[in-house]
Amino acid sequence: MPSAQSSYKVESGKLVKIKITFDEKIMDLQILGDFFLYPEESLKLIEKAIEGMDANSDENSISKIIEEAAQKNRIEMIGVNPQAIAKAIRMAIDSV
Amino acid sequence: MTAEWRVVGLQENTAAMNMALDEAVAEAIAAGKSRPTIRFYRWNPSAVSVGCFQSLEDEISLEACRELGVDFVRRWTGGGAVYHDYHGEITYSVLAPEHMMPRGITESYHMVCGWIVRSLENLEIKAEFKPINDIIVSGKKVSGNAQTRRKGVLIQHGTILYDLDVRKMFTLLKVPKEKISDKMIQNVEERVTCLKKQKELAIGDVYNAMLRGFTENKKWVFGDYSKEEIERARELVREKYGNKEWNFMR
Repeated sequence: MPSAQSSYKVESGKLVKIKITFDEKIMDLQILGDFFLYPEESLKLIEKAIEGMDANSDENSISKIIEEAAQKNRIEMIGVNPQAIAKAIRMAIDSV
Repeated sequence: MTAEWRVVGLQENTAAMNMALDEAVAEAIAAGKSRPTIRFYRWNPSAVSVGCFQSLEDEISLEACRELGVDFVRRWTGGGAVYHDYHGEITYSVLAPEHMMPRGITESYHMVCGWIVRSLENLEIKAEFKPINDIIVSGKKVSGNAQTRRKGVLIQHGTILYDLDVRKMFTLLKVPKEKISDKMIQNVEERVTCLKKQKELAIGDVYNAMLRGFTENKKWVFGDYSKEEIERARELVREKYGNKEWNFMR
């Protein structure tokens, strides 16, 4: 099962790092970085929302899932945004 | 209503105890048992703290920490890895009910960071707040800050660099290349400064300036932690900040 990593510096923001394991689907995901996200515990909810997605999902589809999870759980992000996380995830998968 | 602040003067603790005290005090404020609190502290031994979303092993050279006798801890706030040199910095925490502070996160950063700017003005050093969470002097970072909110309590902690040993700092920290190249600056000394490079100062001068800057126009008294806060902090050291499950969580 492929594993991959990526780093993406958000414009005027912070650094997002991705560690991901996937086959046809995204199996295991860690979103790391020096950004701010409130409440902090809810980052796991975003990771869980993405796990199980098709590994071929495009950036916009991943971003939409993150946005939905953020809205549902009243998550506030500073120095990072759903599109940037989605971009970093795509970069990691595409690096394999 | 103007609440009276408790100010806990400069103390030194281990990394785990410093972070545990923040959480214990925040809990006590949330429970209505403690006043809004400003605390000043140093890290003994020197330590590296990582943000709560960082991988400790990706950010810190554990081998260098062992060799140099430097401690490490995961913070409960976001942000980046920080080297807290015992001789090189003063850290502060502001803990207050959210209703005493601006509602927006950026606005509340602006407010507390304004106290740091005033502190530096007391030393005749011109500084400015650079969003998201930095204070800069002559275009270089001199202070990093991180904030969270728990159970109706705002917690902001941050550090002011007094002296800087770049070589030691980057022996301990693994700096992401992307971050440096993004700013088009390769040399860390061009991005980060310390107060000692601005003017001749003792670390005690910095503390006195911070004490004035943070307490200006406030009702405040010097105080210490309650017995309950200390006991809870010790418990948090055992159960959280001093253990592998927390520190190596990511």
